[in-house]
Amino acid sequence: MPQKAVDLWPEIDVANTRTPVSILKQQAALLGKHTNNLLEATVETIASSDSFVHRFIIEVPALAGYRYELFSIRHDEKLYPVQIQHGPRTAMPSAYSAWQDGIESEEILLEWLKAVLNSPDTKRLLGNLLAQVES
Amino acid sequence: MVTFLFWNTNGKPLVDALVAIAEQEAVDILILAEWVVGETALLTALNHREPAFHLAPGHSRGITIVSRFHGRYLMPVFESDRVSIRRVMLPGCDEILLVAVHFPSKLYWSDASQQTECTVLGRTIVEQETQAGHNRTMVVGDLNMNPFESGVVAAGGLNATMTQRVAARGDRIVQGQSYPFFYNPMWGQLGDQSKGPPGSYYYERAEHITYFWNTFDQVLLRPQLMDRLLSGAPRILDAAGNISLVKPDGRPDLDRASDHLPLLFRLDL
Repeated sequence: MPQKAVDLWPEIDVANTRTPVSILKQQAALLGKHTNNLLEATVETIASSDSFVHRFIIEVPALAGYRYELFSIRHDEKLYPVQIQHGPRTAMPSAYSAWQDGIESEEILLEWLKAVLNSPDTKRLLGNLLAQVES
Repeated sequence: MVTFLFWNTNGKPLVDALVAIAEQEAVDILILAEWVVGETALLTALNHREPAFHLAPGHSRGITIVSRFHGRYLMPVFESDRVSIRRVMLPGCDEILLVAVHFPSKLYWSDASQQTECTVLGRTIVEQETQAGHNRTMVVGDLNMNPFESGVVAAGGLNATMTQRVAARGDRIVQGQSYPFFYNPMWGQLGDQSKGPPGSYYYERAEHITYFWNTFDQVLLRPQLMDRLLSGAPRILDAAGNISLVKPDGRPDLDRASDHLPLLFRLDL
């Protein structure tokens, strides 16, 4: 008589953490609302052997599909800490010593993201792109 | 023939030197990194004899491009604060993709970050080549990596090789994945056997591994463009007209010029 298979798996719960990419995607989805969809944003992910890079890209459909990578972040399979790969100068780690060793939590990621989206560099870029579209 | 000049001016107002090179070498397209003086001062100086140069506008804060061709011939298609990819559509010439780059200094980026950025840039270039429908692509800029470093050489990075014969294969397969080659002529510019300075940037520190001279400023060409490189090789310049850009010991003169030396090359487009 065959033995009953033993199930060694534990109960698997979905981690109660918002992933960095989901936080980025939420903000990307909101840009169109603020610009009548003249500017849109998307998040693209590149996976390498030991990390994930998420790129936050502004798209301008009216300018022949022009794209501007506003910033990118990188993390490994543990999600946090998140390393800032590049971004507007005013929101780079050199300007904020607390972020030099990486962003340790969702809360700090949100704080950093707010700083990036509200930075003078970002506002200037979005304003210039809108002006180009409307001219 | 189109003459290109790339120079990381290190935030210095090197207007006279730029004008001297532009006139002496008949430069057509100037690509600048860390240009902080503003486009107006640059154009005013370059156009002091005749209104020959135009701004090629873009949104990248790190890259400034001016050209003897109207800006509409150098349309940006993808940019970031450190990259500007342009579709260069000069009258009577095949379109090319110009990828101007200024990667962060090793002071701020780890080797892992540099390699990751090369992977991201490599994929972005392929995306833009697909959009453009060709791969007549050149990368030029301050990579802040030497030609032999992983990000530049790795298949999943920029995949830039030292010989035309290897690059002419077109691509190479790693783990079933195809990666298109770049040809990197800067390998021929390393050390004393090069015709110009031994590199484009000098850095010395009391640590075990130091190269002294580095060739961070590079041009990479897809095989479809490498035959268009005139005079055989790019040149690293150590003078701008009568203005020396180096000290008597041959190192970049940081007091009078930039910590990087300019890079000049010509393509038969």
